[in-house]
Parts: sequence; C-alpha cells; structure tokens
Amino acid sequence: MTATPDPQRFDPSPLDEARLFDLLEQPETWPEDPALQAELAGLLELHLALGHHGPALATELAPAPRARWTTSWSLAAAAVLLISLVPAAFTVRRLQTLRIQAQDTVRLEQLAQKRTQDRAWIAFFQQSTTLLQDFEQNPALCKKGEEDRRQEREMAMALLEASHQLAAQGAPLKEAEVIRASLHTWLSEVAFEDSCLSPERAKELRQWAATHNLESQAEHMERRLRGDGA
Amino acid sequence: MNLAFWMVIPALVMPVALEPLSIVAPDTPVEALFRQARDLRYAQRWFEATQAYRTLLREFPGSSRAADARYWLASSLEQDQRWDEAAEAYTDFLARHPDQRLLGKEARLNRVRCWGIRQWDSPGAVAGLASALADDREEVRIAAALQLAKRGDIRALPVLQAGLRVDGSSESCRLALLSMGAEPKAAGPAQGRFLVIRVKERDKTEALTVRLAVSLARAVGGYLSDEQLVQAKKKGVDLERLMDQALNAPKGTELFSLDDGKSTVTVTVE
Repeated sequence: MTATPDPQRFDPSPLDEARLFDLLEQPETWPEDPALQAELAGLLELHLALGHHGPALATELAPAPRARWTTSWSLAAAAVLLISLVPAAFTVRRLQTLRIQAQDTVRLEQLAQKRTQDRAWIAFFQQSTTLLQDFEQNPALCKKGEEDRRQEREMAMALLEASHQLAAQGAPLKEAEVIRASLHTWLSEVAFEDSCLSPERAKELRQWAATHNLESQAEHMERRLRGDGA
Repeated sequence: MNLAFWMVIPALVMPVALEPLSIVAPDTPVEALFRQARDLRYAQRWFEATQAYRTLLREFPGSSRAADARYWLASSLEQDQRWDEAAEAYTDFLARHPDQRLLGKEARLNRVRCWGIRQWDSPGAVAGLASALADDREEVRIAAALQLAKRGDIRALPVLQAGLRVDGSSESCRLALLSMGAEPKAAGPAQGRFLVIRVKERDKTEALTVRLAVSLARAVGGYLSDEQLVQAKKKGVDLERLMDQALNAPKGTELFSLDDGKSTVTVTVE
C-alpha cells in the first residue's frame, strides 16, 4: 500500500525555489507547529520586504561597470604622461649626446695640448742640434784670430729661455728632461761667453758637447718625440 | 794664501780622468782653481766641483772670478740635485752680485726651478715662488707662476693671465691655466673676437667646436695634425700671423679648412 501525500502537509522533499516562495506566501498551508509558523512568518516578512525594495536594491547592488581606458581621466593621465615623458626622453637623449660631445671635446683639447707641448720640445731639440752643428763649423774671425760666435751666442740665449719654459711646463718624457738639462748647461756656457771666443775656448765647448754626445742625444730625442721610433 | 791650499790643488786636479780640456796653462792660482772646478763640472763630478768652487771662494773671496764661482757653485749644486742648497746658493749669488745682468737673470730662473721641484715638501720653496711672483723681471714672474700652477696655487692666476700677452710664454701660460681649470682671458685688441675651430672627425656624426680668443690664435696649431700643418704650409696659411688675419677679416670669414683624411678642421672668425 502506498501512502497518498497530504496536500496540507509540508512536503520536505526538495522543491524548486518558485514553489517554496508560493508556499511561503500561503500561511494557510503552513504546518500547525507554532515554532515553525513563527519562523516562517519571519521569513515571509523578509521576503515581502525584499520584494518591495528589491528593484532599488538591485540597481544599487549591481556591480559598477568596469572603467575603460577611454574614459576621460585615463585620457588626461595619458596626456600628462606624454607631455612629461616625451620631452624627458628627448632631454635624456640630448644630455647623452652632450655628454659624449663634452668627452670628445676634452679629448680634443688634451690632444691639442699634448701636440703643443711635444712640438715645443721637438723644436727645442731640433734647434739645439742645429746650433751644435753650427758650432762645429768654422766661423768668421774677430780680431786677434778669435772666432766670431755672435750668432751662436744669440741662438744659445734664445734657446736658454725656451729651455726654462720647457722646464717649467714639464717634460713629455723623463729622458727628455735629462737631455734638456745637459743642453741647458752647455747653452749657458755659450751664452755667458763673449761673442768672440778664443779658439781654445771654442774647442773646449765643442769637446764638451762631443764628450756628452749632446748632438746625437738631441737628435735622438727629437726623432722619438716625433714618433719616428727610438 | 796658505800652504795647505797649494797642496789641495793637485788633489783636486788629479781625480779628473778626462782629457784636459784646457790648452792654455793657467797663469794665476785663482785661474788654476777656477779652471779645475770647471773641468770637474764638465766631467759631471758635481760634488767635487762644488768643493773646488767653495775653496776658491774661501781662499780668494775678492777675486774677479768670485761672481762666476758663486754662480757655478749654485749651478753645480743644482746639477747634483741638492735643490735647497742650490736655491740658497743662487740667493747668495744674487745678494752679493746684484750687478750681474745675464747671470743674475739665469740665477733667478734657475732658483725658481729649484723651488719648483721642492714646493711639495718645503714651505720655504713655496714662499720663495710666491715672492718671485713679484719679481721685476716678467720671465721670472711667469716661471714662478708656471711652477705654482703645477700645485694648483691660485696665486699664480693673475701672472698666468698676464703671461698670455707675452709671445714666448703665451702657450705655456694658456696650458697652465687650462690645467688649473681656469679660462684663459686674453685682453687687448683681439677682445670680443673669437676663432671658432670646428673639428669634424670621420667616425663622428657631429663636429666638435672650440672657441678661442683671437689673441690666443697661436694655439690653433695644436688642433692640427702634422699632415694638416704640411697642408697649411702648402696652402700658404701662416699660423704665426693668424691673429692679424683674424683681426682684419670680417666676422664669419673662414680662414682655412684642412683635411687629413681622418678629420677636417675649419677655422672661422666670429
């Protein structure tokens, strides 16, 4: 025998949501149990309240539409970024270019200074060589058979001044300074003598220059500074 | 003159191993000693040379060779790298022989060099260089300034700037000023005019530009390679007279352009 369901009784079997709400809205179908009736009455009250305020709540509780990048504030931010970043990028690039140019200019200045210094030293050694060679030549004679060394003496005085300048500037090579000092001493001897030299004194000066290889040292240093090899 | 002195002379003479340079025999003891000291100096026996000169000055303080002996004593001390003693000896020479024009100038310049070498270790040397900045000889002032510039002493700056106008020193002074981070400021007729040197190197996209006061035209040569200098000569560009050309040329004039295959250097007046 199969039991017939009582339509008055609450069927606890799973019901769909619409059927449950229908049952809730029909208190006459509620069970007799007062506790259950009280609980269902509370639920009905809540249900009715939700039904009344639902549309408004639905609108308010609905998730906000996702912001798109095309909205106005995004555009403004992008514009600000463009305005600030693009010039900044150009500035950075320009600064890099300027820095490279400044480094190149410093290199150029240093090269120019080095050339100037080296050429001054080369000229000194070259002119000293020429003077030493001239001193080997037989010059015109002064009175009493003395050698006329006026030109050589003037040249020696000019080279002495140059020698002082070079010493003050500093030498490109240590060896250059040593040879300059040797030449300086010889130049002093020539410069401090009279323009007319006794043959003996002239011979002494030639001999001294030869003993210390002044001419070959000056030539050697000139070539070295020119970069023609040692 | 005492007997001991006469016994010293052979002792001084004998150690000189080189062939005697003098041919004429000395005629007086002073000359003999002076010649002996010189031979020692020529043989680069500096210490013995200084002894010989000191002996001469002690034994013959009033001789006609005293000035020379004092100068060469100082010079021998300098050659022997006894810088402080050398500077003192030059000072002694200058004090006792203020009438020596040529030797005096040389002594002042040599003393500046000695001070220059000692300036990092000796306050006296720095004081000496500072006092030399007020020397009545321009070349001495400039030499002292160049020495002080090595230590970055700013007291050198006014003298170095003034030295830019001196033909023989302008380049040294310019380099010294640059090494001190100071801008060379040349006054005179060239003021307000500049030489603009544009250097375009092959491997660079942009040319480098250097501006020089026209009065510093002498420095242009440093920006030219050896080959460009040869070219300049062939083209008749007189670098020594560049300042005159720049003064007489209208602004914007290109004075020359030289190319050595690695770079092109163009100089214009602005």
